[in-house]
Amino acid sequence: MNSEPGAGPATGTPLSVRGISRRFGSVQALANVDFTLESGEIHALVGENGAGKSTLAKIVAGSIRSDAGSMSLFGQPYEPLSRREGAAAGVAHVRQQLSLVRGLTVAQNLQLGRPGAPAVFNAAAARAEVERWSDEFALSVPAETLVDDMPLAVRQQAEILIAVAWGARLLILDEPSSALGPLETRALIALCHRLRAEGTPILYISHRLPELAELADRLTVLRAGRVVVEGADVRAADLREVATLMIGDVTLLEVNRPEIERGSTRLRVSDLSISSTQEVGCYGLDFEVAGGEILGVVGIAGNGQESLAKALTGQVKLSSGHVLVDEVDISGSAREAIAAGVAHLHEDRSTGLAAAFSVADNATARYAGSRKFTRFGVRLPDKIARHARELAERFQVRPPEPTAKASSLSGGNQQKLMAARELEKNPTVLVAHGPTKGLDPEAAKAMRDRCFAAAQAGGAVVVISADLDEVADLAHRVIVLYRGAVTDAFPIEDMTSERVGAAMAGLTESAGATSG
Amino acid sequence: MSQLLEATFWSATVAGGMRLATPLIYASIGETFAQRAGVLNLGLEGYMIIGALSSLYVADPTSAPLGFLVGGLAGMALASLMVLLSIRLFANQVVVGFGLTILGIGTTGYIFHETTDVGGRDRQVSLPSEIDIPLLSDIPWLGDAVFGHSWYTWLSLGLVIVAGFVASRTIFGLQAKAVGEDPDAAAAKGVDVLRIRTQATLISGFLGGLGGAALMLGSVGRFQPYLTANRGFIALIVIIMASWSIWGAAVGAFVFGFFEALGFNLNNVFVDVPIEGLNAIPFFVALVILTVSARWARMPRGLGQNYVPTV
Amino acid sequence: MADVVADGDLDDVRPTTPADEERRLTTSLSTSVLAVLIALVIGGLILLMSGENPLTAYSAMVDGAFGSSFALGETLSRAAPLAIVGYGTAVALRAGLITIGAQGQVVAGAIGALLTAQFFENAPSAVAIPAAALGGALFGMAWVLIPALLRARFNVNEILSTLLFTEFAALLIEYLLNNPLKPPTAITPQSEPYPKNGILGLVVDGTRFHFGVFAAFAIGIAFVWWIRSDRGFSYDLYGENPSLAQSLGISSNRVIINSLLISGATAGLVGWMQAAGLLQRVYVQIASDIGFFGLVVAFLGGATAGGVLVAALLFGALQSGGLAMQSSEGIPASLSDIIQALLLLGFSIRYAPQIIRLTRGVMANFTLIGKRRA
Repeated sequence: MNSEPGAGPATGTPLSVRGISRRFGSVQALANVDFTLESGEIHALVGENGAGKSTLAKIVAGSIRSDAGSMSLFGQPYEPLSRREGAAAGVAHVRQQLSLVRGLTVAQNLQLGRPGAPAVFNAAAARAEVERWSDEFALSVPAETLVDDMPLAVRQQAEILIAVAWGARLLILDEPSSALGPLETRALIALCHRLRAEGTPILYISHRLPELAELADRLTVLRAGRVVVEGADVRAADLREVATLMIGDVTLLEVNRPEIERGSTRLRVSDLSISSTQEVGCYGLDFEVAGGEILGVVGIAGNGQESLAKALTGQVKLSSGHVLVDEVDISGSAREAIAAGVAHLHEDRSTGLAAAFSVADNATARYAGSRKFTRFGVRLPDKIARHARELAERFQVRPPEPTAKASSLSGGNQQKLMAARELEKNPTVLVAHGPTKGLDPEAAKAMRDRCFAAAQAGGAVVVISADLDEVADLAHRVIVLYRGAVTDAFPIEDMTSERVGAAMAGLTESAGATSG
Repeated sequence: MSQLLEATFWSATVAGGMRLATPLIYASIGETFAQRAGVLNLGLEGYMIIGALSSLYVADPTSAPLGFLVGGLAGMALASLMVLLSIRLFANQVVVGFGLTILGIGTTGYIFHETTDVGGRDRQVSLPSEIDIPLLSDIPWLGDAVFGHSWYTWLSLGLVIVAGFVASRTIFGLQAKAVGEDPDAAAAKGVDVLRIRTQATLISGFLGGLGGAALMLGSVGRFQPYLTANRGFIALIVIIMASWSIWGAAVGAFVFGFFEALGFNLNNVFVDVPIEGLNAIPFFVALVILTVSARWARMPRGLGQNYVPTV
Repeated sequence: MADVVADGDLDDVRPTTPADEERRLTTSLSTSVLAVLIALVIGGLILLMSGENPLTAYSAMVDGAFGSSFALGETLSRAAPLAIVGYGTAVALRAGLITIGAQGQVVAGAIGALLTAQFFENAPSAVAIPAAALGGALFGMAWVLIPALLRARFNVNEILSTLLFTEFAALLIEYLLNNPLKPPTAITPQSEPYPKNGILGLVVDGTRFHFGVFAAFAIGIAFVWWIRSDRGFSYDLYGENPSLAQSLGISSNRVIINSLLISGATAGLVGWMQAAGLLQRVYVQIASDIGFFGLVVAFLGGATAGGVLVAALLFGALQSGGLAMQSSEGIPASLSDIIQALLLLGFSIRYAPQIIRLTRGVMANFTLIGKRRA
């Protein structure tokens, strides 16, 4: 068995991976991967979605096993059979889906599942321990707040803190910055540097290149399961070249933002406020979007984006204000929003599609209750299937089979199916919430083109996203949400990461200030 | 009417409430454990009735404590089907729960009819005596109400203390809450979700069986089909009202028992009001409580959802 | 929900072809038969353990369910109410709601039908019969109205609220049949005989196969129409994915309230059928266990038209066979409860695909209190 955490000084190369391969069904996720993590370094592992980064991380952490190859940890052969064994050997994996239990406090999470924890929970001791570690790394992680009630950035810090408290000798951070704003990312980088100074090597997985220059020492690039660059010095590397290596196909990287003619105002939001017990509401929003214009709404996830998307699509009762589409008030009525031609690409495909329903039923679901495709109130399956097949082909859903279940499609095709449902007719207003989130480059390009096409056809487009790159690719103009209020607004040319970062963190003077 | 102004009326009602609440306390505390861990046992009614019958059939020829224990084990045996079907084979918890309730009612009905000869002797037990706490029981009015109870009631109060400690002060309690709130995260932290859910469900079965046994041995004494009369479902309402807290469940059980006793006792006061109307009081109170609970109750996020391990 | 956790960076691609569908159908058919066999075998073991001969018992059951025209009449007159309640419950189930309140709604429907029939005592049958049916349905709807509003407004769990209303119904009918509705001469609680002009006649003399049984077919046809209709699709969509349905303009309140009212109406109709057809009087036990088993039938039948019909016939046969077995062999009729429970448990395992499809939607909506937190 491997040594206990903290048993003796860490000697030998922290992590050495030799010839690791892993296959899922017909897909070779990793092919003969070699990789070394040296003492005292932050090593970035980069690659596009599906390149195999997370698979490699899981193999190292012990959550899945490789088909071939070997690993060693601090000079000892290392073959974890479970995540628990990996953790016992000192490998901590901080994942995209955090593994803090949401209904418990940080102190409780500290003791939950901890090897060797006593059967009786000592609340005072656990709390003191959290506070000690929090001080040591100059963090402010509250010990006795429910994880539910903490912002994402703090949850992440808490998870790293717990990993260290458990005696982690090696940290894997999997896309830790994907939901953070620029300021929070900076705090994360500082924490990583402090950990490195204390002697904990870090494997840092990301597909965001810009932050790596400041953060990492070396980088390894994965593409389609193979190492294309191993252990290059970050400071010497040309990030543009790295980006090309990640993608392989350069044309997909370029975004051809088409010239779009600006029309008159189509979406007018005035004094919009929503109070919600379920999520962060909105407070006193005022903005207009013209036909042919794409407005980007940025902000750290959980700052009122959900409420805004619902308000613009008539799904929630407003506590004040109006949402006017072509001067028709659609506030609070999804039915009227649809009648007014508002289209909505949901952020989460699992809520945006009926997974157990067929492609045909999903593609035509917007007609539910409209009596189209019915006779005497009975739906006409043949007519629906024919229409659905046309739509699926037009929006390149593969397979365009009307009887296939939506759940059987890949993520990209599910997104296209949702687009087929919402964008069958040119929308007056398109609310696109994270339209390219989690998609491969080809599918992402297709979705960007849909947004441009909606604008070109004279629609007003609102892109809501926590991903600044996505907004930079699409938007003409940006507003920043912080706790449900607009803290800054500017044309895309004026977007700098300092400005956006300050506004996303609520530091801007011009903060709309009615936030609660 | 003037009886309502007499302290004896209220002390008798409180005492009756404690007695009626006792089976509910066992059942709701066990089920609180299961639900905190994410498992919804709609079969609780079945656990209770099978516990009631088994306890009687063992206690009749032997002794009450042995019957009580066997009642708990019988409930646990039925709950092990919940473990097998829902937790291990991922069958829908609601469907299996209903199935177990019907199975409990059917099985007890079958055994009862099969073993009862016309004109023969009914199996029965004599009801337990009240245990008085010296000094405290002598307090006028209050003493009778609060301190003169059978050992089933005293044991249930002891159970509340133990269960409260286990739920909030032990790692097992934390693990149970974790697998009920966020099973994926709990599994990622190395908690064996299915094992914890299994244990919590068996606890619910055991305590549900004890609840049925307490009803049988502590206040009814002989069996009849449908004996538990939806108390298993009332326990579910009690748990909601308590927002999944152990202490709260005990209080909720008492509130229901109190109004049930009040309904009975008011019958002697308001002789003109139909007894059915007075008997509806506890259910009406339960409905009101259920409705207003929405203001404070926070359901465990994973309640009713099966967990399928990924590896 | 967390039923299957996709936690990889690869998309799971599963093509669905007609051959897959066919295979799934055969599997579901063979698992169904297997579940029935297992239930019967376990039932047989129970019989053996209690010193009975399973063959004698089962043949008595078969005889009591199908052996004569009387037996067939019993089976049909027990299956019809189960099917009707099953269809109504299935509408709610498809919309993601689990109601077990049919029990109380049947009682309310019986009272409503009796009162309406007494009001139309001197009217021609052509008026009195439909009026009483309507009265029953309306009372059934009224009995579910408050639970429906509570679910729509406060997310109060409908299993528990409808259960409380079943208690209320039981107390109400006990009061009525002991007091205002009780004939002066009666000793046990019961109503006056059902008015003659409202009685549903017998289809076959010497049986209890009455014309009300045909209501089950009418309701079955209405159910087929419902699941193919545009509105039925909207309600199904709500059951599968409530937030999507709401974003498409389908009103959550309307789905919840209407689907529960539909289930209440069908249960009320059953109350009418039992009062006007089978019993021709109202008793405290008029609902027997129809409400509860109606839900089981809806589950077992996967909330589909054919499935509910088959399940109702199966349960009708088990129940009439069980009672016949009790009177001829002295074996407790509770055996059929046990077999029905085992059937439900056998079917609950995920390999019965229709139930899975169905219950995933139900569990997505499921709440004991408040909205589900994401």
